[in-house]
Amino acid sequence: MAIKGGPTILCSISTKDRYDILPLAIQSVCSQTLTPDKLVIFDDGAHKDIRETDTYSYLLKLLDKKKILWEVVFSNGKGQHHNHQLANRMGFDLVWRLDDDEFAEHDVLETLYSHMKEGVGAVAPAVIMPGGEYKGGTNKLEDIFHTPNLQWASNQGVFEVEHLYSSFLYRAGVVDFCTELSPVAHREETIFSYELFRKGYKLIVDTDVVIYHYRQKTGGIRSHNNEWLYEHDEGVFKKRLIEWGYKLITLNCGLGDHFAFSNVLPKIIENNDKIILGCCYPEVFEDYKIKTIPVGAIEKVNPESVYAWMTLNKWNKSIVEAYSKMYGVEL
Amino acid sequence: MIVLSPYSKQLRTKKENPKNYPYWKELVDKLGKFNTIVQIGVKDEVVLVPECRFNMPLKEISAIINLCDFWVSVDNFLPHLANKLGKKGVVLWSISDPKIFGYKQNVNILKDRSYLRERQFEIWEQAEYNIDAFVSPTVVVERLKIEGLIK
Repeated sequence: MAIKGGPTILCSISTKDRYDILPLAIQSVCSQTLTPDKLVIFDDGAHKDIRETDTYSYLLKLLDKKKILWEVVFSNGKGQHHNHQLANRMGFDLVWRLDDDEFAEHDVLETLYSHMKEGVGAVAPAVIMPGGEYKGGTNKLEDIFHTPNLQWASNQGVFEVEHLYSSFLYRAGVVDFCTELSPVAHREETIFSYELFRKGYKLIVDTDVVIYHYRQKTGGIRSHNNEWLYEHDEGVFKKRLIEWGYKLITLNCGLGDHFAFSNVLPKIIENNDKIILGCCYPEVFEDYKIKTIPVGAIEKVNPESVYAWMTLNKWNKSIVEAYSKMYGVEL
Repeated sequence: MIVLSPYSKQLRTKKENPKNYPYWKELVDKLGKFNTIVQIGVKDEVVLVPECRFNMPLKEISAIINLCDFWVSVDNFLPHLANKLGKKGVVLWSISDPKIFGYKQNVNILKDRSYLRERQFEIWEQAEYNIDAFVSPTVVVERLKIEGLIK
């Protein structure tokens, strides 16, 4: 059943060459206790006419029966972020984005919608792979590199967070998807949802409502296996983090170098509210009000090294002065 | 009490770290006449004195450094930690540059700048051990006398 007189809801599915599993996602949309006004499928792949197969033919009739308008858009293959951006600006009040390899339990949209009060920008369910849940995430941006996603575990309760993943219901037309990303669209949900958060909207994860993720080895973003695309997107994400006021620091060096760095840390803390410090010896920084993460979690995103810096700059002063210059702080 | 931190981190090649002082035994014999020596380090390092404390947490190392009269080390983590604590010590250098990796308040004993390696920032596995780059124990003791650390 749709909402009468309430906000309009669009369900958006971006798909690429997953015609075999897409029907599960469509069936789950049809089976919702609260149905969207419209389902739009963005086909980034082979542009097959799905009406020609029996399964799809039935599903499209079922959508008609459920009074869910539907549309298949043959999109240009630039990636799901471009498709979600189209959905974002289609004139609906709310958009429920669902991946093509996901199956939502019947109460997902109704539950997500129940949280969508004034001031809430987006609401997400748990998105779990049957047989593979990972607990311990916070979905705070400072934890993004080293903790599991909060949405990867079910039945943990309801949380206010800073970013979301995969499937969620969001307030449309408030912020835009980042179209700088490559076709793999790595971190696209993170960037989009954090921009909503930055606009002052609350983001909620209700892990008691579940979408099952039947993760596919092929199709979708896994059509692209070029590592550099991910690196490109990680670079875009890093740029955004810096714009959002995060200072990324990577200390992949010895214990003594950590102590040398600690001479400039108080000034860095003074100048930056939000610091993500990846290091090898967190115990060095125990007395500072700063959270550290394992260096391996950040060094790919932020591959800096004081030794590389000193080599490049033909440095002949002290290492403490090098850190000071490198991080732009006065000693 | 003198705290001794005699070795730098073991290299991945298992070869001798070019920063490791070659005459510790002789130096310890000489320094032991003046003061009690406590060696700190990590398990499996060569034991030089009866009182050895291996694998100590950083907080305990800081505590013992604060308590000691002075400390002696090679170019390893200890000078950096001691700098944070404001505790003066002695560093025995060889091919790394005290102007880059050292602290002015310490007694930095370098035989000669001509022994410094050309590329100061390369990984240590690329550097050769050069025994000639180190000062003798006699020179160390004389210097400590001049500095007033021992009588």
